[in-house]
Amino acid sequence: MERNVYPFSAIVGQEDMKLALLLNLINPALGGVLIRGEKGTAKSTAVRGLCDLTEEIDVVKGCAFHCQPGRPPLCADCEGNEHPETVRYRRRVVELPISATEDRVVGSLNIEEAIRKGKKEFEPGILAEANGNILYVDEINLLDDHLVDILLDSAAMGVNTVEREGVSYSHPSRFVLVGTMNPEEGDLRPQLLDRFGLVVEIRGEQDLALRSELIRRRLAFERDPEDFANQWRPEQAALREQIRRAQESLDQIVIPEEMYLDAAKLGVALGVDGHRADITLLKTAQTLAAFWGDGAVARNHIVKAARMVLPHRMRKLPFDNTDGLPSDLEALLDA
Amino acid sequence: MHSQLYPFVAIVGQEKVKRGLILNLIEPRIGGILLCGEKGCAKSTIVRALGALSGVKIVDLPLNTTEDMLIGSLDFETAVRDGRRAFSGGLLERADGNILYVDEVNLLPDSIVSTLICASVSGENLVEREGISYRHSSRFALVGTMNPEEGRLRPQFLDRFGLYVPVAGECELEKRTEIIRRRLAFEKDPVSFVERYAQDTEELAERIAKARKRVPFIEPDPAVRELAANFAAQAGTEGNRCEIILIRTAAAIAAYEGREYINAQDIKEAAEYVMPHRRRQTWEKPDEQGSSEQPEQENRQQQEQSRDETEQSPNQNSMPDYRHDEEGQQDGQEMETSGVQEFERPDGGEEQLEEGEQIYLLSAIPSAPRDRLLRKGSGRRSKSKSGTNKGRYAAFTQHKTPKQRDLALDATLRTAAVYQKDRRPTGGVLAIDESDFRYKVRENHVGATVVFVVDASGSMGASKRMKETKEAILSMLYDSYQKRDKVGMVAFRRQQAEILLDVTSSVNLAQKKLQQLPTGGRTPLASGLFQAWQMLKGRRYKDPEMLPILVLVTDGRANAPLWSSDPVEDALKVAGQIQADHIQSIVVDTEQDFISLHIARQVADALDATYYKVDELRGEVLKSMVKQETRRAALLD
Repeated sequence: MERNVYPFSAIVGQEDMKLALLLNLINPALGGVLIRGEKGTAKSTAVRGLCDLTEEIDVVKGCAFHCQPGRPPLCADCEGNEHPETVRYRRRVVELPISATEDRVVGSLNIEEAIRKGKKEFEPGILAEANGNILYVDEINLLDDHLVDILLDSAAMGVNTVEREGVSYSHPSRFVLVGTMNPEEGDLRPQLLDRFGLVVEIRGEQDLALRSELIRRRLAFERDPEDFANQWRPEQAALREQIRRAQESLDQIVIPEEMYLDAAKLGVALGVDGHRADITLLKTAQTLAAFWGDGAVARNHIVKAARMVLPHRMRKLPFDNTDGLPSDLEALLDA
Repeated sequence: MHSQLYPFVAIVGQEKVKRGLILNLIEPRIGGILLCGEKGCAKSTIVRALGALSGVKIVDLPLNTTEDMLIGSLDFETAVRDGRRAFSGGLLERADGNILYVDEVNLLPDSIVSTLICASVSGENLVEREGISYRHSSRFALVGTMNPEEGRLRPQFLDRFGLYVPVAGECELEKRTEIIRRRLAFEKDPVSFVERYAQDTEELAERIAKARKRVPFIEPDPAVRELAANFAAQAGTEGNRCEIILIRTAAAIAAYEGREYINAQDIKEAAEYVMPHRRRQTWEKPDEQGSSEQPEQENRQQQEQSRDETEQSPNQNSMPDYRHDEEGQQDGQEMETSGVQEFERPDGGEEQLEEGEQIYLLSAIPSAPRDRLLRKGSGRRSKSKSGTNKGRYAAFTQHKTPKQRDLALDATLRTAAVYQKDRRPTGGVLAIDESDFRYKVRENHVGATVVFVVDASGSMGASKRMKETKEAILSMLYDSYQKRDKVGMVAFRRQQAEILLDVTSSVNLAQKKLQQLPTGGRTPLASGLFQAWQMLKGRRYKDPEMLPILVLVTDGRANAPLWSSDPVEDALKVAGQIQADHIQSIVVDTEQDFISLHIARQVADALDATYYKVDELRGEVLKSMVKQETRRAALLD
């Protein structure tokens, strides 16, 4: 199965989307990516390609939530377990189809246990599987309302609390939420929009040379996926290394005093709701610095991050027509 | 499962929120607090941090809660093992003496809200279900957070929250940077961050504990009681609940300040928390545009209330009835055609573009379904029992319907459980009888499909009429947004109607299309109605259970026919067909000329529609759509 995944580094163009996804891979605390744009723009390919870029991790053997020992929050079982047996685990993309039912999403009563043994046990759902992974919702704007509410709840808290079908349970559910949507089919509510750390707009590449390159690679991949993957192995390895370094250095990236001020200034000037935008802005800038191999957060990181963090948060009410960042953020910051 | 919580004392700003919560810890009988405001202001963070300040537990009520989990149910395991019916407590039992916390409380399903209100009023939970009869105390402080953009609360529910605090982000740069700094520090190393604030946390916890001990000894003197009563009377609140909560809150304030008596200042401060969501709404027409100048928070509170009030008038019955002067209308008909032609030049004049600037709350909710059919859909306009296997599992029933064979396994197993001792004396797999079967009752919010038919003819360009019209439609769109309706839009001007927007759930797109709509030309009213009808018919074909609503906004000056030579006749003919097709309609009449022709009224009658004059729709001004430029400019200065 794995060999059929199109290598991430072979994706032509769509730089914003790729950058946003990579930043989330490096720092899952950024809060996910929403990809807005037309069909056929390699959205799914890019998301599925992410897993190949991650390192394997150690998780508790048999744990439905893939708890990582020593990395809280842990589930109730793992918390009491001082020296758990572990297995190697590669992060994966968990998909949430828009037809999903609520019981599958949050989890439900384990029927088999109930009927066979007369015991009440929790049957983990998609939010359990998503813990530590990437949760991918294609066409998220078409998802049933009550499911969106539940997602929103878990994404915010990093915990899934279940009170249904006779089961009362809560477990960690931290995931990188990646959603895609076509804005013409309806918008996401601002509340959910705000929960996405980054939002990127994408459209098909217009450049002819890029387009033909894109077709050439796609055909090559379809002809012989394995051979294609081999060709791209060095690029994949280089990217993986860059990500690994970025993850390692993330905590050491210095945030100079002025940068805090810059983030707050932008938040105030653009009239974003609340403080999530400021915080995400600085975290994104920090991750960006790590990714680019810089030692400290600088103005250019802030400006680049602002393009992904702020536009979707600028609306005050559903109908405010204030979309689009001013083109000259620097001028705003120097004011 | 524990994750490190952000310490209460490390939260920057939000003083009122913090104080309101502390007061609840000191005097739980205040009954909780509703935090209402924009997203991303640490509302949830603050509430969750409370646990560290006192012994009180924060019991989460998640949005996916089913009825039986809230109330409690038969204990399955005991039943299987001993064949005995025992009660297994639900959230209401766990919340007893604690804080029941609902994040996004305005998204909570209705059935759960009703149960909550019930328990909160009586202070106990009475269970009579699944062969169990049980009663236990359930006194809890209800703490909720909500973003008012996402929907409203029922007034009875609103009243269950002792206090109310509007929440907004901090605007000072200094505070904002400090917020970012602390948050990043916390995320980097939560353990040492919490340690750094350990002493402050302990001091605050102690201060609260002392106040808790003091508060039972605080007796309000008569002057204080009178003051509280005055406050309540001034605000026109109902019942005496308000005064009692005022005094309790004031007592908590006094205790927190280390005093053993309440002073006038305490009552005044308490009123800021207790009154905002209880003030009775009076339905005065807002003075034109001036009222939009109110500070935003004030505005939001009022918005909150007025929405709830509007929700109280649930159906068509309470709408004004204007049909009594039908006869007068008939008389007017003679002259109207000529009148229209006089008004509009044949060429229709030039195009104009006028944008709407304000959104206001509808003082009447113009659409509610007239039937209680089983419907499906995912909007919020009207909640129905869903006839399909979609929607949230809310409760269970013993009765199977032909369409609904969705077994509620948990309930079925509980029913079967008590008989297991007899049915399978040797143990093993559970024996389930057909009589044990229970079925899921699913709840789904049915969204309407609202097609707006907008008159954009030349006559609408007169004297800012289009601005008013757009504001009316924007306001209805806002309503649709909150109810997750699908919307479509047809505009008619010049020779025929055009579809501005096919049915979509993007209310935003509808809003953009509307703002860009110019006026000019003749009034092909019949053609507009016809298009909308076709649109709704097409949608209904795809989705037979949706609720079709047609909203016609016009001044009624039809002057372009569709089939015959009489434009009004044609419009009435289409209207009659739409009515016969069971499509619900609303007509908003924008005619304000000295000589009224009342054609819109006639069309409304033919449609059997609810009829409004445009200014009757106008409720509280919600928001001036002033762009952000002002704020930006202020910063650049």
